[in-house]
This record gives sequence, structure tokens and C-alpha cells, in this order.
Amino acid sequence: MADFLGFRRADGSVGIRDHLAIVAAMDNANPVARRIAAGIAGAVPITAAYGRGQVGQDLAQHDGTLVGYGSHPNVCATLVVSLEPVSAERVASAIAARGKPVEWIAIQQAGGTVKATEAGIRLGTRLLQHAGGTAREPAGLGELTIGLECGGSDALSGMTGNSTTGVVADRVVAAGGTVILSEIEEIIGAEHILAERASDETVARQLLEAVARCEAYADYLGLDMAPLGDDNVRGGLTTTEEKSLGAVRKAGTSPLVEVIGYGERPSRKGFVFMDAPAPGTENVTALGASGAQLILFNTGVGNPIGNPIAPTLKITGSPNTAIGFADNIDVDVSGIVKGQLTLEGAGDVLMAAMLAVANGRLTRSEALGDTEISISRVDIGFLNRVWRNGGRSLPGAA
Amino acid sequence: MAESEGQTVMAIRIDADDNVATAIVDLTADSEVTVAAGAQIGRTTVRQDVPYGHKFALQPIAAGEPVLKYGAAIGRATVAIEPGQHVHSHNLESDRVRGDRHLQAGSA
Repeated sequence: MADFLGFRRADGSVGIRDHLAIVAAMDNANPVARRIAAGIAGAVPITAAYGRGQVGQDLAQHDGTLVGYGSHPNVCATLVVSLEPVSAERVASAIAARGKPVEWIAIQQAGGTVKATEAGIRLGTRLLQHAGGTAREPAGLGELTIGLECGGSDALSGMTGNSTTGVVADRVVAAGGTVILSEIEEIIGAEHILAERASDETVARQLLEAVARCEAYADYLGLDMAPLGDDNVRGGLTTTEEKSLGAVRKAGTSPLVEVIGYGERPSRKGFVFMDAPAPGTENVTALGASGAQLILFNTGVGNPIGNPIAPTLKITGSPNTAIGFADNIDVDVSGIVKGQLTLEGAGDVLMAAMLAVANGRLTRSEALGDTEISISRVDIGFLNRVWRNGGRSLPGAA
Repeated sequence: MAESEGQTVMAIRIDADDNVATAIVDLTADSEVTVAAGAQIGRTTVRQDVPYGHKFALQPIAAGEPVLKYGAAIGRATVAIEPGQHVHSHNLESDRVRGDRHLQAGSA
């Protein structure tokens, strides 16, 4: 029996949306990309800051993220827009190599904004009519990759929304699917629990090294890098460890099979950890780039943001937020603290809502347009080099 | 904690090892509150106002001792904490990603 109906793609993946992606290769092309998307029904602009003049790891992460969106299972075809042909062709070729129909335009070649917009709408419309609109077909839960996120956490997030997400994560993994936990700062203090669940020593070591890099960065900066916002603290969370112990509940109880980098695609099925920063928009951007078709986003005090390509369900276990932030909430599991809902029962509610979204029901963030792309900068590249040199002192340090 | 049934739960002790509980309603100073710990329901008195979502001590915690929630350390008490007292940034401190301490140690 099918769990949901999705769009079968040439690379073997299954999409839950059939978007035409208009990917701006750099920020100076964002306005043209948005104008093209506005001119084509079903087109979604992917417009991030930066991209021009980037080098090294920053360029690789920027391009890699855009390629992740351009080749995403929820995308039927992609139009890349850039200022000049070299970057446009570079991003488009990488998307084509993943088997996705793709075209590119360069604003300089096209002759400016108006002509590029016209050419883009024409090319995009052709792409959409060629690649889009195939029928939905039966698909299984095990064909889903689900990103796990929490933002605007309060002290009850761990016990309620995150634990509910953990119940669903376990069911997805049991069905043969993949769940991706991320937010490196938000496993600090709980990494021992995840490391114990690692499928082998290499995976455990990679996880602990990612945490150690984070601690080393805090030392390098000389700052308390607690990933707590003022809203978290008002919500009753006091320390990094406390936030983390609640946050990792999203990942359920299955073995950790792989550690991946920012926006990378998992190579294994099951529970995967992605080393990417915690702030909501950046992290959801990284999760979407990995090919996750859907994101479960638990919020305690309220956070509206979703992903433009990977539908993002907003879950809350906070009775106050369920009422006060209702316009942005897809799934209310606050019955847990009121004693009206068991965790398994809450898992059933979330699973049903998730499969409805997989079948095409819009999430609140999709319907409201509360979606954004924000690619993290790798400014710690310098630190990474020091780290690899065995922790050699930084210039200027005593 | 004593067992009593038919009570509205006002706070939750997540793990049997925890020395703090989390309020699930706003609690008022010097009021008696019901605390759920798994299937067990107990009663205790909070000595200070504890807002929804915030923590209070279930037993004495000496300065420097770990504060336990989810059955794990969430940091250390910076001062002695009495049962029923609000536990938050004023008396609990993290031990992780504390580059500020590293800097102090390095410049000392």
C-alpha cells in the first residue's frame, strides 16, 4: 500500500512538489530571478545573499547549496540565472550532471534586466511544459528524506514537539527512509548520547570531531558561544547542554549511520547527522539542499520560517504558542503537557499531517510565503586550517 | 515524592536522576505544586515564582554541583540552591563552548 503519491524523477528519487526552480547563481542576479519566477506559475525563486567574488570553501558551499536545490526531488526542472556566463554554466552543468533538466541565462549576455527577464520567462515556461505536470504515483515512507529542525525552543520543546518528531523519525527510519538531524551547536552536551548510537567508530569519531571544532572555534573567538537566544532564555532554557538534550530528541532512537557536511546528500539511509549551523533559516537551507523532501520544524516560542522547496511543517508543544502563534502552526501537540495526548498519539497526529503535506497539502509557511534561503558563510576556514595543523597557535596569540 | 492521584500536574521531572523539575504552568512563590515523574505524582513547595517552562530545584544542590535534567548534566550550580528555588541563569552556568573562560585562563 502506498503511503503517499509523489513525482518519480529520472535519478530514482520521489518529489512531493513539482516546482520549476529559478536559481540565482549570485546575489546580483536575485532581482531578475525573482521577476522571472513571478512571470511563471509554479516557479520558485532561489535567491541567496553573496556568491560574487567568493573563494575556496565559501564558493564550494554556495555553489553546492544551489546545485542541491537545482537538482532537488521536489523540482521538475531548473533555470539558472547569473550575471555572467561562467558561473551560470558552472552551476547549470553540475545540476545537469545529476540528471535534472536545466537551462541557464546570463544577464550580461542577454543585454540587461528587461531582456534577461523576457528570455528567462520564455526558457522557464518551455522547461516547465517539458518536464513538469507528470502524474503523482504511489510511493512509500521509506523513499522520504526528512530534515529535522527546531527553532525558538523553549524548555518544553524537548519533552513535547521534539519527542513527537522523534517518534515519527523512528517510524520513517524503520520504513527504510532517512532523517537528518543537524544544528551542530545544539548537540553540544548531548553528543555522548549520539556517539553511543553510532553504527561504527568512524561515524562516532566524525561526530565528536565536529563538536570539538565548534568548541575550538569558541576558544579561538574567546566568546561564550551558547546557541541560546533571548527568547530561549525567557522560555526557561538556561544552558547549551539543556537545549541540546532537548534538541536531539528529534532524532528518535535509531543508530547514527553517517555524518555529512553542509547541504551534502546522505549516501546512507537511516539516521544521519549534518554538521551545519543552528540558526533556523541557515539550517533549513542546508537541510533542503541535501535533498530532504520535507522538513519537520518544532518551535517553542514561535518561529515562522520555512523552506521554499522542501515544505516545512511547524509543530509546537507549547499551549501558549499553539494559540498565540496559531497562524504559523501546522501541528499542535500541546495536548502532551495537558495530559490529553500520549507521545505515540502525538506521533500519529504528526505522521498524518506529514503525509497530507507529502500528498500536496500546503504547509502554513508555503501558503503564507514565509520561506527564505540563507547560505552559511564558512568564515572559520582559517580556523579549519589551524585545526588540521594540530592546533598550532594563531598568529597574534601568546 | 508522595503519591497522590486526581491532581492537575503543574511540573514535570523528566528523569528519575533529575534534581530539577520543569513548570508547565506559572507557579507562585510558597505554593504547593504537583510534580509528575513518569507515572508517579508527588507534591512539593516552590519558594519563588517560577514561570511556565522554567526550572526549580527538587533537592539541595551545592555550589559547583551538576544540575541534572533529562538524566544528564545541563551545567553547574554557581551558588548553593535550596529545594523549591528557581533555577536559571542567576544560579546555573554552562560548561560548554565557553571560549570566554578560555580567554580568561589564557590572559591570567
